[in-house]
Amino acid sequence: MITLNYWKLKMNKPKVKIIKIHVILFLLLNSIFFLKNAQASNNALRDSISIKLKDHSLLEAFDIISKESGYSFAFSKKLIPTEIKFTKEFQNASIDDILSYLLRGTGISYKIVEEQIILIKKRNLKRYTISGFIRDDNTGEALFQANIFDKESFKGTVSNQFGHYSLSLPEGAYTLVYSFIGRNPIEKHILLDRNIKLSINLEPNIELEEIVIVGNERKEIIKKEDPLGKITIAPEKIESLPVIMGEQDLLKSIQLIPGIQGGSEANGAIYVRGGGPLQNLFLLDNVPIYNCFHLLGLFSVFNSDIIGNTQVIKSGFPARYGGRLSSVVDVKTKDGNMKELKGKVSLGLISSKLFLEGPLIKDKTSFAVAGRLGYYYIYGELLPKEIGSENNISNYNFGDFNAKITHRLNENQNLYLSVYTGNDKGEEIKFSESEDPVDMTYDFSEFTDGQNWNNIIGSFGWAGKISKKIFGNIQISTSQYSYSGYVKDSSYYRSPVDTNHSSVNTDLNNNVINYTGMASIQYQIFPQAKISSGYSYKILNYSSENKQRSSYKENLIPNSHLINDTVFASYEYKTTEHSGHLEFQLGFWNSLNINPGVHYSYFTNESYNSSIIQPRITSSWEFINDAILKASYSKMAQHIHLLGATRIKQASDLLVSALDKAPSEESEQYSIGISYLRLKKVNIHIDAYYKKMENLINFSEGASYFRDTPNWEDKIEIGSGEAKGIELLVEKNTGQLTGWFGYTLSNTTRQYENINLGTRFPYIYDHRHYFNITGTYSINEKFNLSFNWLFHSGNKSTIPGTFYYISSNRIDGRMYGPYGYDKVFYNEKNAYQSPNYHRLDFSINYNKIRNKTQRKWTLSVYNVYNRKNVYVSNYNEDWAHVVGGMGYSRRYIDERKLIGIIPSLSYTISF
Amino acid sequence: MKHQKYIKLLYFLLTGIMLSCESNVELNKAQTVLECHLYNGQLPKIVLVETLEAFPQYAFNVEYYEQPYYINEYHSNIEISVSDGNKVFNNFKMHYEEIDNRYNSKDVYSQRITYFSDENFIAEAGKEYEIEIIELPEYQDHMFRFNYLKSKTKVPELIPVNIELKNDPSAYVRYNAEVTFDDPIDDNYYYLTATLVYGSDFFLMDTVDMEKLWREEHYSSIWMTNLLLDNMFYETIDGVTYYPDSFTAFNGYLLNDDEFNGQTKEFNFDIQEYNVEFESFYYVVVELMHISEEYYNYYNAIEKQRRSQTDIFSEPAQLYSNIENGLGIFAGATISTKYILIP
Repeated sequence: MITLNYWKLKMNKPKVKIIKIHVILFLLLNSIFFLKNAQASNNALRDSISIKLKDHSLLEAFDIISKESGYSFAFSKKLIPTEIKFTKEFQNASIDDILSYLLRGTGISYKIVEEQIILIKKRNLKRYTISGFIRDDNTGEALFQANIFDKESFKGTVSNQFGHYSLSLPEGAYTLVYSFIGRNPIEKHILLDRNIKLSINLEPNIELEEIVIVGNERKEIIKKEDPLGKITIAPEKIESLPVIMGEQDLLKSIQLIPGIQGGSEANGAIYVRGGGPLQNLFLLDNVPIYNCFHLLGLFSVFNSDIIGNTQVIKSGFPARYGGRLSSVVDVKTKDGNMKELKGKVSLGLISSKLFLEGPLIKDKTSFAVAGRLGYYYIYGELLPKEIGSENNISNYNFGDFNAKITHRLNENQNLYLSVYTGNDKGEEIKFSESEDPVDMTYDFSEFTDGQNWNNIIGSFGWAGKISKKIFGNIQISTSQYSYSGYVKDSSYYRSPVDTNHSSVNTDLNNNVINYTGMASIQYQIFPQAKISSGYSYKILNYSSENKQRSSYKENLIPNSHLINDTVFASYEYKTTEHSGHLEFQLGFWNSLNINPGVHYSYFTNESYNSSIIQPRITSSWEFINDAILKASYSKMAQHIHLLGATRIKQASDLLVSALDKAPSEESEQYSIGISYLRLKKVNIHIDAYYKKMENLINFSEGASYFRDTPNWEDKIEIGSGEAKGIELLVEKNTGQLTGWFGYTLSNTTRQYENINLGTRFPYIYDHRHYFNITGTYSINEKFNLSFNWLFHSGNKSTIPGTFYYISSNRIDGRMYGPYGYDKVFYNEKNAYQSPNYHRLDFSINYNKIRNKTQRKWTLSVYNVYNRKNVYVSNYNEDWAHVVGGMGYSRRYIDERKLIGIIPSLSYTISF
Repeated sequence: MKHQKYIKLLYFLLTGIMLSCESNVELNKAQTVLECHLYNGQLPKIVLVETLEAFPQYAFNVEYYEQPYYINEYHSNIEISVSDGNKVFNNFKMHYEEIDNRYNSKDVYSQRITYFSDENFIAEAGKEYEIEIIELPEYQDHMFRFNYLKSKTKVPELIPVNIELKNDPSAYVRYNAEVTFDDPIDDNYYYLTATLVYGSDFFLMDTVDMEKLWREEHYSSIWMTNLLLDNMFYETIDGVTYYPDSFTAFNGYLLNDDEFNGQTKEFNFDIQEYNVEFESFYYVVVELMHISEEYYNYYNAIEKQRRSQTDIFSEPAQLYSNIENGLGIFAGATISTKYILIP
């Protein structure tokens, strides 16, 4: 060891020599510089001078001062901001006054030592806040999730939903970058020597003719700074997605992102990381929406014309969100153009839309309205069965209307009013009639099956700055959902001797009314520390009455009119919920971010109450440049259940409140992910998750809401769910061809004590493999092609594999049931997998600009190769088609299919 | 390859998770079914069958009973033993019984069911029984085999049932019947039937031995109406009508004592006016079977399955079984019967 150290010392000797030479040279040069300046200063040292600065930098200003006053400057160049320019004239001003002016806000202090002015960095710098609003320059609309950061240190923040930002930094000079998707970024040189209000308007970086994003302008699905499990979708991103049935749809689009899956054909619900359909919180301007689908799920209620920014969160939930276990889809509508009237008209074969926005009072009050009318009942009838499907939907229409008014009280405060109403209506009538002139009989029957549902949503609120570091928001809102389904089956028979009439009328009703008041504040403590807090009070009333009236009357028999009323489900709940949250956003060393928080809710429903503390934490660590490791933990709770047949999701499924026999659902999710952004053409994101859910409800075996007791809580089981998986997203955002492919490998199970003999079983939508590839190819500025291919493992069903006859009863003479009832099936719950689902959608867009208007033709084809995907599989016996001898028939798996190929054409004009 | 290590990492991650996921259950795996009911005072009959493929390629009759008895034919070297804790019964012999098997009301076929019984083995109330069925190893080369089936159950004690008839003055109801029994404090399970039995004037009223007729199942010479079916298809609670959960297709009520533990349970039903001109007598026969928990679970599951199997809106039901390594049921019951002649 001694020998080794000796050699190390010996080897270091030349380095020591070099350092010594550097020091000597440095001292020598400084001495010369000092002597030179000293000589100059000796010539004339003046404490008051007159200088004129015109767009001079600090360094240039020092030089001018030095020449005029004779003082020399000593400083480190790193200390001096170079971007700041000064234009000012000083007449007989003292050196102190000039320097105080020039160094204001730079974090630099000075000391005059003889003829030298020494510049040093201040210790204990004061902190100041820069805050304001970020808006679209053309429309005046607030920009949500815009980025604001210091170009040098990358310390920054994002704007909230009202476009407000607040950033606290130490006194100094900064170059702040303001950026937002689809807008030209702006750099601002700031001297932060006091609290500054600075509102920024960002110009669109695309002209009108480029509203449709061309290939090389696609933005990432997951941004570098996004926390784990969060996706931000700008309106421009929706525009660039494949068109389905003539228009882009938000919820169809997000199903192409790993972790978010569709259920089955004609089931619009989304299933996030093994969760159920009502475990997703859909917010429209902060108001929950209880059924967000039109037309059997082919469209969502979110009209893409009026959608602003959308956040989709599937893990790492911020503490401000609560009330659902699996995801948050937070949709904000556009404020409307504050400057001028703009609009868009779309005409399509399936639906048409109108969108208008503009100022009511210029730069003060704006409006945005959007209306949509669907008339698939016309187009569906025109489709030949070979193209569509035997069971293709028909006799169906829908419509919706959005309106928003935004009023600026002043630069820092807004009032807003947002309204949505939507309606779906479908009805199918079948009848038959026969007359026999020989027997003189007449027979008539009619069958009507219909349903309609509607949502009414409204919110009114105030948002603005309370102080330099505090931003607040107060809102009152309501959300009302009602569903009505009906089946009328009646028959009439007349003969010369008798007349009879029978009818069975079934009515299903389901209503939810929500009133919410909420207040929240955000406080920027330091640039790397922000605190958010809020409180909300919610009244949620449920009511439902599902009943059937059967009637029979035979004229020949006196007093034969029999009426029987049966109630399938009947309930009414008045519930309240207090909830609050506290959340911190903390940053360390520019590479580590940790956001701890807690959400608390206290729920009451008559005698039932539930108090649940929900801790959350999410973190990200950029361990090397553009390689980010992310992790999160979330506990979530919800006080609402969805109760429906598990084999088939229906709009008539019951929305029911948590109560003693069906306690609030809870979940815990652990998630970890890595974003690798170092490759030139593609970004790679990999997430893994494990989620456990408790207090899930499910109908007991053999039960349905058409049977047994009308008290739903007496025919359910309480159980748990487990979901685990890994998600891969590879994005290509540059070049003529852009897009991504996503793959999810997952395993989702459920377990109930009295279902499947208590053993764990696969969830019906346990898709082991879920893969999609989505792309847009820009041929030129006018034409682009989009496509989407989706493939996933089939849904799970309970189909018997084997069976036997209970023979012993025949020799025991007991438990001897009617024919056909002693066949016993060996079912394992959800052990059968339906055929895999796959579908290709394709669209071609043609854009043309003329006289400041954009015209766009879109030809889209849903399910290009007419794949008949199965939406439900069921065991069945075919007695109608005799095979072989008398009585010989077949048992089969009844695989029902609904939607085939649907071509569509739409024309849009924007002005 | 600059990023080879990341590709490798991704490959191993995906492979690992794929392997960790469960594979689908094999649907059409054949299984052995053991059925044996231990009725108090009766000779238990053990039936062994194999499950059948639900979706065979060939055409078959969906209704007609065609349960094959491969096990008896190809697996004759089976050792059966039943123990009640003191005695072991292992002298089981194979027997055959012809039963009527109807495709429809006109076509009646007979079918031979084979079963095993030991003439010394009579089930007794209050006793616990354990059954073991072993197939000897040398016979395991056949196309289907089982190694070891095992189960146990208890034959419950007798719980007497009572019935009382009351006149009912309403236009369509002739009598009102009240059926009662006393439920012990522990968990108990029951199966209750009430049948109106009437015969033609072929019978001489004075010579009718209803108990004998009922036990010997002379169904061809008497008619029966299920009174529970007539009366309890709908129930009303607090003015709300609904379909009762406990009604079963086996013509009776399958119930547990969750709602009346340790109390006297009472059932009421109406006996309506019938055409008395053509029948010589009316009897009401009430049977209360005090059944073991396994008995209840098995038939409850079958009933749930029956009504939900092809109903897309119902939750599918799984078959209950208490047979280790197989399917089926080994359960006990004690029957209390009352016969009342309607005046």
